[in-house]
Amino acid sequence: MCSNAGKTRNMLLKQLMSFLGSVVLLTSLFTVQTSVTNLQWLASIGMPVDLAVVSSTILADWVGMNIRGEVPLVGLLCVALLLAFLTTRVITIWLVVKNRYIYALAGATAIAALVFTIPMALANMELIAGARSLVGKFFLIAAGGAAGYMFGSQLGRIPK
Amino acid sequence: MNKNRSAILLMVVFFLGLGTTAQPAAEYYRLQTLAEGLENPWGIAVISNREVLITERVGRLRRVVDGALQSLVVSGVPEVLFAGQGGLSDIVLHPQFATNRLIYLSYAAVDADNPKLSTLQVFRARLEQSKLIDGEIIFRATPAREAPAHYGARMIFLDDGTLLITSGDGFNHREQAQTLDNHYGKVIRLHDDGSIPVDNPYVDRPGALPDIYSYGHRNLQGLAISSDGTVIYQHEHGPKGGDELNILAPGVNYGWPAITYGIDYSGAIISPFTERQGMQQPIKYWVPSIAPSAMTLYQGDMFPSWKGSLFVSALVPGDVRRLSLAGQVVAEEEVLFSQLGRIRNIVAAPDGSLLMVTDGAEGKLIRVVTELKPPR
Repeated sequence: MCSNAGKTRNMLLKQLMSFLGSVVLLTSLFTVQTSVTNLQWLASIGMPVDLAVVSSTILADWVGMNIRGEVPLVGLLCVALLLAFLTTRVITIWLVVKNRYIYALAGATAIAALVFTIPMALANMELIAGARSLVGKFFLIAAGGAAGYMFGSQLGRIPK
Repeated sequence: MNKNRSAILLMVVFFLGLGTTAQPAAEYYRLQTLAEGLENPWGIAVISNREVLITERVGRLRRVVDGALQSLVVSGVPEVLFAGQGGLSDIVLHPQFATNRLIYLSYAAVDADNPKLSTLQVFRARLEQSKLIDGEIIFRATPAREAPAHYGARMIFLDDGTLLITSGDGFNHREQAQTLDNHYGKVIRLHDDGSIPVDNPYVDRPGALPDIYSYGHRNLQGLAISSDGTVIYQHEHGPKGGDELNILAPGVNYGWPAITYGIDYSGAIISPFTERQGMQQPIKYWVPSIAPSAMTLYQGDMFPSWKGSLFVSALVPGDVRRLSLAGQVVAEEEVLFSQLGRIRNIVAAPDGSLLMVTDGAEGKLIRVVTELKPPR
């Protein structure tokens, strides 16, 4: 009895760690993409963007977008992925698909919804600078897919 | 030795004391609410001490005569896009308004080619009683913008009779404030009929729009000019922090978004740089933001110690900043009228009183007049 409870607790803990890992990965990809988008443009107009500037900006954005923004990015992505993964968990009761693929699709869909609905909700204003271009949007959607893939892969390794 | 030191110290203190300018006596004032129920008021044009014109962002032009808001709305106003930050914005009178009755309105309008886009336009018409006649569009910002935001839309006439118009960066197009082939993040200079002055800085530059006066701006909503007409003050909203007060000059790059003291709303760094050769520094910046909405340079006699000060109305948290100037440097900042909430505009009337409108769907027109005793 106790052993079963312990196994369940361990499984839940591992699932939680996998989920947090996917959130951290996605947050990092988001912030790096924002930094690179801004710095790329600055470099294109001749601003002195060197390695020190790149690394300090990436670090500052990772902290800033999670602490100083109007909405903490990590919280936003956490909610988006949580909704997507819970929905996927329900779907997989009936549908047999490899975890890593269906969760990748779920992650990508969640981020697609996010990058397209934020401007719709804010009169076409793009709050995430990196999502202003189509290429940027696709990168972020792919990042959502990567986070979902990572979560799905780890889920498959957790003994039930 | 110790005695000598003390004597020197005393002398230093004495001479420092002599050099200190006496603080001007505080001005006592009273606030009078002249009109209430204005729907998102934005621009104010003072025709005389008796008559004021006010724009409402929803697309109405209102008259206040002898302190009473007229129920009859001025007709002939062009159709505006009232969405986001857009709508009917500024109003200015022609320098010879007394004889030609010309007024200028800036506003957001739906783009003629693509109804999903919008643009900033300036309309000129003659005011006859409560009607605008002979109206024509004299300026249209290009290209059109995706979001109904950051129009700028402030206007002022310079002493040479040309008109300056501010055109914001459209929020989604900030990088284009650094190129001269568009109107995002620019100050525009035109003749009073919309034609382009031949002495504009980029008239002869291939690929540049000839009506551009300065560039590298964000969302500029304040313009004021010194009494001798030689100094133009301009302020603009920064992002999260980094609101700027600038001295405007032709052909100058003000740096947005390559240099800025603010960060993005997402918390990301827009640029890690705050200065760069060839990009003008502000004479003052605010971190955190005050959201400066308008500005006037006070030259009236009603408040003698305020003469020569810049009054900047602010939306966040909602007050007016009186900036004392020492040459082209801001020497002191005083916060006034903080009990009124978000203030959208401030102008000076010919009698020396100040007129302000508060922001929002229930906006008020408020007059600041002198009071002999401190307010209770």
